Amino acid sequence: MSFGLELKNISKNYDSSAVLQDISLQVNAGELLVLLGPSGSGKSTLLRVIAGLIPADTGEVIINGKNVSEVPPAKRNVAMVFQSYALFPHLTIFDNLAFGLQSRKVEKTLIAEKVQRVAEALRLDRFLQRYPREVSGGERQRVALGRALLREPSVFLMDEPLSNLDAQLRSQMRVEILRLHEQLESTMVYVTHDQLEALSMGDRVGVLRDGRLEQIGTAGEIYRHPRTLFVAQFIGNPMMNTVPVDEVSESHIIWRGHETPISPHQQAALKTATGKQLLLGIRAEHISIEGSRWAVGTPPKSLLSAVVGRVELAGDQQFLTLDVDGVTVTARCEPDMAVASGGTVRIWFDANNLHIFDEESGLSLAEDDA
Amino acid sequence: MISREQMAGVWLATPLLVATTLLVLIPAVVTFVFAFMDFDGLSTMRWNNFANFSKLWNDPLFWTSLKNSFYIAAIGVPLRMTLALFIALLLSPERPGAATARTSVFLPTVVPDISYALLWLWMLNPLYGPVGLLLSSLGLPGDQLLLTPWGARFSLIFMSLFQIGEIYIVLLAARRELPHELYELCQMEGTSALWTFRKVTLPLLLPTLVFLSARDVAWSLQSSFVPSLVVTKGGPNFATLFLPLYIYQNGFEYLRLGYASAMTTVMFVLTGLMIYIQTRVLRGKKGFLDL
Repeated sequence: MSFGLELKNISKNYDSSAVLQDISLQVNAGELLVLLGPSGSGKSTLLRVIAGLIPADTGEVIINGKNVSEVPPAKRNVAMVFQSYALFPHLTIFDNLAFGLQSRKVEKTLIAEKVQRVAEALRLDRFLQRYPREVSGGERQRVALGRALLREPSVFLMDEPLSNLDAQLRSQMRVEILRLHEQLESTMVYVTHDQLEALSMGDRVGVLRDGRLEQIGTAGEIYRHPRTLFVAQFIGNPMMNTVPVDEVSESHIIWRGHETPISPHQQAALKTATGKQLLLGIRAEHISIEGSRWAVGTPPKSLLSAVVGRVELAGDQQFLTLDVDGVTVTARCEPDMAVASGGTVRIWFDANNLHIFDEESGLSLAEDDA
Repeated sequence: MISREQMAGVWLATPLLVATTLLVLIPAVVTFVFAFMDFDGLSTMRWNNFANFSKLWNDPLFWTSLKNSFYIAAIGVPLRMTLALFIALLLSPERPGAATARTSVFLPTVVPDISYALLWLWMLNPLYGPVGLLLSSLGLPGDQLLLTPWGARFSLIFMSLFQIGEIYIVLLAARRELPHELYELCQMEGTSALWTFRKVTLPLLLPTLVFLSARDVAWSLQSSFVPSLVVTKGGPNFATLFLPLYIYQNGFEYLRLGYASAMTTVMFVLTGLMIYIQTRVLRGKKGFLDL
């Protein structure tokens, strides 16, 4: 099986701090991989290592089966779209698009032809004689995309290309980029700090933290089966609730006197974790509130009672901040359910969607079968 | 009603305002008035209307000094700009020794003008100065350095080439302000260094260069005074008689203060005119000054 892009054991240090630590991953030809992480996680650095703009200290970059670790950026057959678009303010849109071709002394009529074709595809043909400052943010973004297209690369690298656009334009451009990706069937690595963008666009998502690849997988895998506490809490809004586990029995987790059954493979994993402080992770949508239409399954015998703190109506749903014996968790319910701040509700956890983490290592117990 | 904060601003600005008024504004107005007067500093002043200006028009030495000032600006400014740009681009990336080099380029600029001129007077001495000796050892007429008109002019221009600290610091800052991503893009497109300079760096630095050269023209008109006074004394044969030197001689050696004031007024107008023309010509090039 040939990969469009393969990274083997990439590491990079600046002075004494490790920016990238032993990163290995494969991107299939034609696949769109999103690298997701908070700022400072090393995702932009990793992109620049792939591009060849930053040399890695160790490791290999392999594009279409060829090791390009020692190849200069221009010969790697990659194109990059920059966060700031990197348009030349003193050049017209035409000259910006043609910049690379002109520098390679391509024949003028051929340049005009190619630029025209890309400009039409991106609906930029009306703006060719304008300067970047004379067009809108979305159009500038399309110019940056067009310039990358004219490179006809085998791998597209995108460095937070949509982060300077407003929300509406961002979702339009997301669709546009996906459409281009489908048409070109090109390999794409897309860097973002926006989890919504990552989950909705990526064939697969790689989550980076402090220069390490925490997890890589489809959006569903990452959301439903986070391998680490960091991934669990970084993905999803509101953030996944975590509560310290009081006690573990053979088949149940006990918290605040409330027993929640756990799955057989979690039971197996728990046997290896004796003596460790465990954290129970549960998303807001997996906390059921008694009386809510959105409550899942039949309530167990013992329910937890919780005092309602803040109630936030978010249009199609309500988020409740609940206080359970001094521990704060966030739950959600349908928008028309009558709940009042200060009142008491009874809740239970959906046993099928529990996550158990080792607090010390931050690793999930029993997500490896995901 | 002025708020406390505004009042604080007024207080803070006061020293500068007072100094500017006393040292620049009032002398400028006085100079302008003197330009229309006969005044030697001793006898009573008299209005003589435009007599100073018509005398100026017919004064061959005024035209000589004007021509010399023009030469030194026309040759010195482009040389200084090119050199400062070259050094700024050379020293802008972080590399071993760059920090030390950046400081040392600036150093000659902070040497007081008189000390700087005296130093060069020794350096350029035809008999024992190191510059002359070096030239002579290369088989060039080093002993003629200050004795021929162009030798003297070029010596003064050469001196001024080391006083580029301010231009170069501004260019260094301007270069470092240019977005890094533009250069990453060039790397990805594989453009040559020359192409990148011509198509990216130079056009993007052009607004700064225009501003700096306009300023440097004005600087060159004024700063030629001390070296021409100390090193060449206006010679040989008036070859380095520049406007400010001629003004100084008239005003403080011959006590023709009215005449000197008229010349100062002309120099002021000419400086303004040159800056205006420079910025106009380059502003005409689309997209350069309003990036």
